[in-house]
Amino acid sequence: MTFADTVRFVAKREYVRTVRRRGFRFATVLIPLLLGLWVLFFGFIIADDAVPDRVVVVNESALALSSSDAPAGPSVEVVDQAQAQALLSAGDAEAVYVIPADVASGGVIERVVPGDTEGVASILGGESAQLQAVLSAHVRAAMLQELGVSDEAIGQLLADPPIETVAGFDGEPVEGEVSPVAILAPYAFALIFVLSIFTTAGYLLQSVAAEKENRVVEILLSTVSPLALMLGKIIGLGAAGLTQIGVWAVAGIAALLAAGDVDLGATLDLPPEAFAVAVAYFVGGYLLYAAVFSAIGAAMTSIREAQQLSSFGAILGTLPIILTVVFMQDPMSSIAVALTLFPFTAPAAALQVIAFSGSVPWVLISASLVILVVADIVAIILAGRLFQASLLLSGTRPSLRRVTRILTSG
Amino acid sequence: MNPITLNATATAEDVVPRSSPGPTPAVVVDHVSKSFGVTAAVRDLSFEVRPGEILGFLGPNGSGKTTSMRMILDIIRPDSGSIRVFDRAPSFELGARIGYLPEDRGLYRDLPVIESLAYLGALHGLPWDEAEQRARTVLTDLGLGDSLEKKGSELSRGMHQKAQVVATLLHDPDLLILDEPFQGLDPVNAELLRSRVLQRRDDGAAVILSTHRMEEAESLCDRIPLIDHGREVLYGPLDDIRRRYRAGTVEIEGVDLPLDRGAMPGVLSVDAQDGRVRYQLEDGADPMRLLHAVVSSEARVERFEVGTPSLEEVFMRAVSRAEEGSST
Repeated sequence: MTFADTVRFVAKREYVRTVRRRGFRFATVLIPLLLGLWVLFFGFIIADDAVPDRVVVVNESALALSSSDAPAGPSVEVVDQAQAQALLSAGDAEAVYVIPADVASGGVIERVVPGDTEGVASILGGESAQLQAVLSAHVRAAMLQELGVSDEAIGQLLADPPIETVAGFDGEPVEGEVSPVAILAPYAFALIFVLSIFTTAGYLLQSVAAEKENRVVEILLSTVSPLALMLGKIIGLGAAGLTQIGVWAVAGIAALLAAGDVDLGATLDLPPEAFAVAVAYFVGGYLLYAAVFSAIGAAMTSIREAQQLSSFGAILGTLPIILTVVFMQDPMSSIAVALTLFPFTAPAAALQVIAFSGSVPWVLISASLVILVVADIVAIILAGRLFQASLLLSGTRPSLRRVTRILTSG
Repeated sequence: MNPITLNATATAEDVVPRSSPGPTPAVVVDHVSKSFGVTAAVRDLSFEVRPGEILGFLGPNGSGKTTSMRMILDIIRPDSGSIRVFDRAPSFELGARIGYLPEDRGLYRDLPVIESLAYLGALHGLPWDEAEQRARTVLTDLGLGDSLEKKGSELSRGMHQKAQVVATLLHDPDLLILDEPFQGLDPVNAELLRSRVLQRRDDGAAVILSTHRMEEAESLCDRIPLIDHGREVLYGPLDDIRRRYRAGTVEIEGVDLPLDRGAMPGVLSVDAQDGRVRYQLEDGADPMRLLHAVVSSEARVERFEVGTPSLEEVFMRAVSRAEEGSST
């Protein structure tokens, strides 16, 4: 077989072997499934936590709690104590608010919950702060009415003043609101992205270390060049990783679309070209870590030992995720720029820079990608040397001195 | 038949061409040396192996056998000297013609045996389906038909070793390089696999077989390089070596046999036991001169035998000669 044929053959076999692995199929299906369950669970919680359409009140004060002059939202339903008890017993109301006679002079409003409610639930309940704010607004409106304030003035007093964000003094209003989703989406995207790189490079590490541990490697090296073996593995397992990400992406998009009117672009808040840049960073980041991990797999004496050492690489790669707050505050800060230029942190850092700045800063990204490509080439050459020199050392790992000599040899 | 060559103490009549007549050699190793740091693993080693021949690569553990094999396979490169395999420089591209069984060997633990063998066969140039079919047939012949779908981790050690030898032979290689192939096998399975190797030899393959077991080499090999501490101490056809070293001892039974070694020509030592006397001769001493001297004395000779030393004895003597040679 020629070099290219060998690389192709090894890549194909590694791909087939990996995607047929139970662990791979499990992770490929399970992660979207867990994500779906998580969404469903929180959907359920949110639904359960939905603001009721009414506030049940027992009014012992002289205030007239009409809903006509209150802010929009849940209505106030005034009942007597017997009716309130019946509603609580039947589970038709989660809580009932008792407005005391002296409410105007500082009397405490009691929130009455069913007698069998225990612990934290009795304090927090399922109601939101919004519901209690509505009740407070009604009470304040009634008190102001008692003082003879006109309905128009009450409306003005209780209304929240509008607040607008502008870019600089005399600047233009900043459009759109920063929702929690807009903040979390780039974070989650970068996290999944880095996770994918490490999962895929992890398969490579396992594959190389297992062949060394099983002592198959010397048979392979009698007919395949170490470089062809390494490249075949990197390509095959990289394709397996992309397949996994593809499945996750399709499942995620399908789930979002199934959820209804979701604007994917708005949800991820990323410019379209960012997706092309993300693919470039995936390939570049994967190649870098794949080269390093394959060298670690070849140099260590067991899979376990190799995994322990590679975990340091994982910590380095996820550093930008840990420092997300730095990117949120200023995506072009010196720390953010440094992490974007450093090849081992570039993939996760660059994505966050793009996400939080809302555009692709091309000068920074271009410089970062060039450095990443150079690092890939250097890493593959050095890893190839270490791979070749270490694979046949069964039972021993090369000393640091020997590693240095191997890496610096021509 | 060619006389043997003894590197360290070669005499004029011992020095012969290192090749034997016959077809073009499958492997020619010519004055090859290899060091790892300050340790010389192989020193000025030369030998060749031809199609249809089994070359027994003999030597104790750590003598440089595995390093030499790896150099033939281009897994590592020699520091000096040259190696030709099928009249080409060693290369991975020759993999389709070579079957290699390393000493440290195994199978994929997480793959069915049949798939491991098909993969290795395909890497040696067989189409996947054909490799799988061949593996199925041979494994079934060897009594592993029930284990085809078992994972490597589920096989016994013996099954493992059989499957590994099958993987080496699957693509009908023209050159077999076997590093301690029968180590750890029970006698029945060792014989079963030995017959497969011999079959391949009879089909015209050249075989290089490393072993530290002399009796294994005696029963299988046509020619041997014997190495110690990376250097060759003996090389040649096995019959010639035996003949060469046969003159080393003479055993005589009789009455009043002379026991004074000084009075006997070319005798190094004398060992008498139960009416038999064993004479250890100097290198190159003629047993017939000894017989003549004994008969000329008062002794009555009832039996005279030129002793055939075991290969192990040959090895020990060759090593001591080489050490003497290198110290002078």
